[in-house]
Amino acid sequence: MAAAAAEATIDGGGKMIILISADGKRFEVTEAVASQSQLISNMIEDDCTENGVRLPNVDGDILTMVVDYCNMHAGDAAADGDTTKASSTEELKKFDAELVQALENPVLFKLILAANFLNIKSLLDMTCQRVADMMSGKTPEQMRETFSIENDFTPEEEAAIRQENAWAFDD
Amino acid sequence: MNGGCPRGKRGRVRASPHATATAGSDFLSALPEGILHHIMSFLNARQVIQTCVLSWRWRDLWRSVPRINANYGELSMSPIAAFTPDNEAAFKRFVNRLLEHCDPAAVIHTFNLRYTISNPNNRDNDSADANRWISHALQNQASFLKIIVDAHELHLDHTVFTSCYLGRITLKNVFLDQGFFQQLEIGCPLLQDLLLYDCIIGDDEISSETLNVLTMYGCQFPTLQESCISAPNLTSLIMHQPENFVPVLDDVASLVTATVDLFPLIEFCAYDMRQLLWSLSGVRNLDLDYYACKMTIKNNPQLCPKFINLVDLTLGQWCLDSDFYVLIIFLQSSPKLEKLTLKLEKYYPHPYEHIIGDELTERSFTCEHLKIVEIICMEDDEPLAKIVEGLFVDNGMNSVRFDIKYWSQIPFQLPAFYRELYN
Repeated sequence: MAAAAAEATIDGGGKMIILISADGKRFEVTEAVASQSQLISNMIEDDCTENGVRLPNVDGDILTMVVDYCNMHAGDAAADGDTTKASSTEELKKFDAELVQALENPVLFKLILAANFLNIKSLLDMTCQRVADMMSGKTPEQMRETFSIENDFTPEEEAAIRQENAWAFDD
Repeated sequence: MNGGCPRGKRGRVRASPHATATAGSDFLSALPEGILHHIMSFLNARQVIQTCVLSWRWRDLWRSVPRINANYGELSMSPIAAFTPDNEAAFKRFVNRLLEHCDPAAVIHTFNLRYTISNPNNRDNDSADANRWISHALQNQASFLKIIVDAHELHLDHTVFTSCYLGRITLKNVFLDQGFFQQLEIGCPLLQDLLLYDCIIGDDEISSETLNVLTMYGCQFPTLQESCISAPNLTSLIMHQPENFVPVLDDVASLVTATVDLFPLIEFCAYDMRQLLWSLSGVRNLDLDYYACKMTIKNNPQLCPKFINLVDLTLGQWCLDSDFYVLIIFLQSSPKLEKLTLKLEKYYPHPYEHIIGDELTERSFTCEHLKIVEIICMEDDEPLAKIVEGLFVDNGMNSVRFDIKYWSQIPFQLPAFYRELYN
């Protein structure tokens, strides 16, 4: 581990820090990787990552995905003008597309909450875009079905709301 | 599940046990309002509003979505029908109602409008509506504004541009009357990015202390007077195929990246090119293509300044004209160059040579830092690419890596401006 840490320092990745999930799983990542999370970046700035960063509302399986994502995107902000960038951008796109396509209902929403809590803008955008894509082109009835949204209006209430906003429903 | 909803009551009691089994799995509605708004920001306006009938949770969420995407194509199923007068009128009513019914206290962080003016006789009225909507968005603290207009151009009323939030403006097919740039300078102190596509510019002076990014694709400049750009904090400039006139870059001292592409119908001479290149002398990345009228270069006019920061240079076929005239003078003037890219003609037949230069007295160059030369050409141009390679070898630069690629190998990609506009 010492060797890996030394290497990370040479890369400019800096110190390693430990993330601890709600169920006690530990993840060792470089500061450069972790600071894609604005929350952790602020903690690093305030010097309070010494004893590991506890993330009480992120489960281990979700944190695994977040760490994978951050490892993959660690080079993003640095190394601009790198000649190998073009191909790695392609790889990243592919990685992102595969990650997001594979997400099913509950995991997708847990990942959104984690991205929101950790404040990782690109991951939040990507996952929210995925949900929007799942809504796009659907009628309200189809949306309810896709996301198991329970219609808690009475038929009269629903008709009244539809009437009120008829200008957005008329074809 | 619907805890956030005080009036929530079960309208229909579902008999099937299946309903209770799925009742707990509505993860979407359980998200905090801020995240739901973020998700809704990726939808078109009409769909956003239609979420009001999903459940009590959703009833009023649409009124405060921070990004409005209003697109005239959305109201009609077929793209052709989108251009009918009925549809245009319906779209205007739609946007009017949308803005009227939004929560007046909600911030409209981003306003994206895709609009069409298909009848030039209606241009004044149609423009007035759009100007009102833009004004509404700016009053609700819009930071990002994108207005894409199809068919006839929109006449923008520059007086609406007073905002201490606005950071980025993207416009396509818009007429910017005289005074527009001055109003931006006075009225929009945070404006950093201005992206103009196929716009008609009325001002002959573009002057800004705040702009960092200025992108202009196919913009028309005034014909009667010389236009000039003075933006001392500009770091990125794209000037792609300006029409009528190439504006003079008066003060762009902070520029890091510049892309300039000059198009056939432009009158340009060696003096103009010299003026252009000297104003770009501080850039780090330069992409320059020229296929305007024939340009004669003679008597060593010192076309290139010393590009003291230039690291990444991209040139088009024109740099090989007249026995590699432009390529050689660039290499002689770029001591820090690390990467050179030559994008040769993509189609046959290749046009005439654009540069007529006299013989260079000095053809040698040294670019100590040059690591890679990439040449993108047609298959039949490989011999030419080999001659270029020889030029470097003859100058003793044996460690440079050469990559010769064919256009046919480059995967098709929509142009960057297209992705920016329609993404």
